[in-house]
Amino acid sequence: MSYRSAYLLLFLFVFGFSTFTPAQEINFGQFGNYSVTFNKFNNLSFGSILTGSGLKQIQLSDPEKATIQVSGAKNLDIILDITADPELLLNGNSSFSGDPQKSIPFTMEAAYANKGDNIISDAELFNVSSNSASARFQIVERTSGPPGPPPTPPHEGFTPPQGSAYIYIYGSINVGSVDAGSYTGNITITVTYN
Amino acid sequence: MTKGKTALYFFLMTGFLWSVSQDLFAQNGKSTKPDINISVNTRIVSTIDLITIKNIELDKARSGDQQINIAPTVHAAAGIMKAEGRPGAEMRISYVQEQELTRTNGSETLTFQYSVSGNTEQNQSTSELLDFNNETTRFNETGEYFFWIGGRVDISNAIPGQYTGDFTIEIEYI
Repeated sequence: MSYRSAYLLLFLFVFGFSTFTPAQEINFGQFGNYSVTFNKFNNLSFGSILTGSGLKQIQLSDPEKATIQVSGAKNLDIILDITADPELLLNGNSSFSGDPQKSIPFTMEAAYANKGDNIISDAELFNVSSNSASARFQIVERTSGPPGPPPTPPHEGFTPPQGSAYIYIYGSINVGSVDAGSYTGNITITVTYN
Repeated sequence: MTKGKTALYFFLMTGFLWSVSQDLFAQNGKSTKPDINISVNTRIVSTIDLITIKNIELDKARSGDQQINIAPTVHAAAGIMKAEGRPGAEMRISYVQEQELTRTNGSETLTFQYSVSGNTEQNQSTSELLDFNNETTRFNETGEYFFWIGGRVDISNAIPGQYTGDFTIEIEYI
């Protein structure tokens, strides 16, 4: 190979490198032993409903919605995934799935507030599809200015500043002519540090 | 190819391969995943119908000028009601024990103390007295339950006339 070819290859290497490098994103979460904690204030309860009464909704503004506090290092992003059962089942019995007399369709809605306080007017809506949703946000949103320097990771004698975000789960059920009794379903929330 | 050129070529290829691998490594940055479960729940209830079969007949029960006393388990003047619901379902019963009767075309009142008995069959003599607060029992196999409504009222100072009032009972599935 001539030096000319080598330099050409070097040129391609230097400038081609930029085509292989993604938009800069540094996942600080992998550089420290961070932890996230949950505090569930309440479950999502529709109360007592007469059989055959049709659509029953719980809105974001209603006290019956489920509220969950997510706490951790305030400056880091979290990825939050929510998945809900598509129906409530009599006595939670999975063998009643799809039984029109023993199951009640459930449609989930969700929102989060990450300005530091449990205030629904701060809430941002999740985009929910087929009772699943995912979003990425800082535990406490940076209010102004450019990002600061990388946060010091947790280590012995040091805990990064903590903060909390709030997750709101609500939605609707459609009550057909179902048997009287207790109906339950499940929603799972998973959080990952990014 | 000279050693110098070989070394340069090797360096360039190594750098190329390293940059590609760095791109792949940067995509894998997620840490462990805690989770939490939220329960969604509701309680479905069906209606309970309450039918009045016969009203209390106070005038038939009067035997003196002091007091009217109708024992629900034996007196023919007792009122009769029937509840209809889910066969065999357990239910909770409460009723307002003391209510006022008001004279028609007047404002005078009498205080009536209700007493209620119940049975899964329409048999007054075997019915049992029910506590006024949160008594629990069940519908029979055809979804029926019977009540006899009695009680007592002091009429020693009552002004003559017609008196009417309500009887309030609450029944819910448990």
